[in-house]
Amino acid sequence: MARRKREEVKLPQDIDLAPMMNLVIILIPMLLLSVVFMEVSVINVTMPLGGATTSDRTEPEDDKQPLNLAISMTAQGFYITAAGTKMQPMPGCPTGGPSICLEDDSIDPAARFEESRRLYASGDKIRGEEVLLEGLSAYNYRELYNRLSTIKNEFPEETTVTLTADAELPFALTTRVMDVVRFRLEEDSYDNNEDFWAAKPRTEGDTYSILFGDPAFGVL
Amino acid sequence: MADNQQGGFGHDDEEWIKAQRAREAKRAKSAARREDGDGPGLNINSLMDILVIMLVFLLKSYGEEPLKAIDEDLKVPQSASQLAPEDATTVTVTRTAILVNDNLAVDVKDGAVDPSQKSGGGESGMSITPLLDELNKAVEQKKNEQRLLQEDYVPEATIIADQTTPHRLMLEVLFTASQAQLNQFRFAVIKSTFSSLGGQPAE
Repeated sequence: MARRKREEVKLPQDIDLAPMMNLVIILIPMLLLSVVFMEVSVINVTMPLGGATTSDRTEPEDDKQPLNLAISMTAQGFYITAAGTKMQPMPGCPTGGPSICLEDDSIDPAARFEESRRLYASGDKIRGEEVLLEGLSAYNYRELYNRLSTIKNEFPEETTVTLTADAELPFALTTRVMDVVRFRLEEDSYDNNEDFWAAKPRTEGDTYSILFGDPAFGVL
Repeated sequence: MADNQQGGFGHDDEEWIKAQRAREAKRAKSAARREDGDGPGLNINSLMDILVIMLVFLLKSYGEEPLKAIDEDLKVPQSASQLAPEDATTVTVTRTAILVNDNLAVDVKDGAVDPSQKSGGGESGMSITPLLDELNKAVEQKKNEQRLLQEDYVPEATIIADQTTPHRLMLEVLFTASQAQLNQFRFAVIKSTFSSLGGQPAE
């Protein structure tokens, strides 16, 4: 009996890793495929209860006229309204038109956005995004920043801006404009686009200097 | 012989010892062959270590993803915003549907909600009825959760909207949300650099 037992004694053997390896090797490509290497962040926006057009800003105590800054996005450009008056078109833009007209007249943003939606609907996402970005690139964000920077110097306490837009303009344009109006850059004014987009935000101590950091949605 | 049998190993014992020695010799031989015949065998342990570390890392990043920003019919716009997303009621506006916390609220066709789903004035109506119902449910649920956790309820929502969503639809969604007593919104965006927005390569 004792001998039998001795015979059954086995020397320690390695664990059979093959099934485990199979599992791991299948799991890793699956997870790699599902991982999105993009970080998501958020933009804070307020919309007063009831969807009214005004922001929840308190009235200034002094006699200074309230700014009530509003940017209206259209397919022709940006209209800026400050202190109740519509800003005159910038030099080089047609009179009676938007305060800041398109930078690239050869692009019709409305048509591009429409085309982009059609491409997306037909499943061509890559081309759809390209056309969308082409449409977005027609706008003159640099001049928008320059104008807002001038206004900010006159009204340093103001941080709210009401954004309105034509019905068909895409959400991407709204977020792009919010990016431009949120922070002050190193300079107050830029002459060319390269310098403008390469600019770093201006800092005040540990925080970024705010241009109009509280965007509110308004109804056109 | 007889002494041996009586005092020492029996025949069976001898057989067993022989067999044992033969096995050991065989084992030693195969070990030697492994060592110098095929060179150093592939050490699977270090490979396993790498794979297990990768697996843990991937599983972690899989679980962490707070918001789904890219899907079959959804791609949120890029922005230079650096604020981290927080846990809140989510409203997802894709090219084909509007969802509240992953529950389908209403279908979207060609960037608009069917006028019959809107209250007050059909085409020009601002409030999307099925969305309002879902939002009210979600808000109620959130309030209960916060009450149980003894935290203050904050009327906030995260809006995950496709980049091509028309402004009109965004307004309708925001208006409807404001009717469900939500007034602080966060737009989900893909984190990017300011310079990359202007078509310059990101640094």
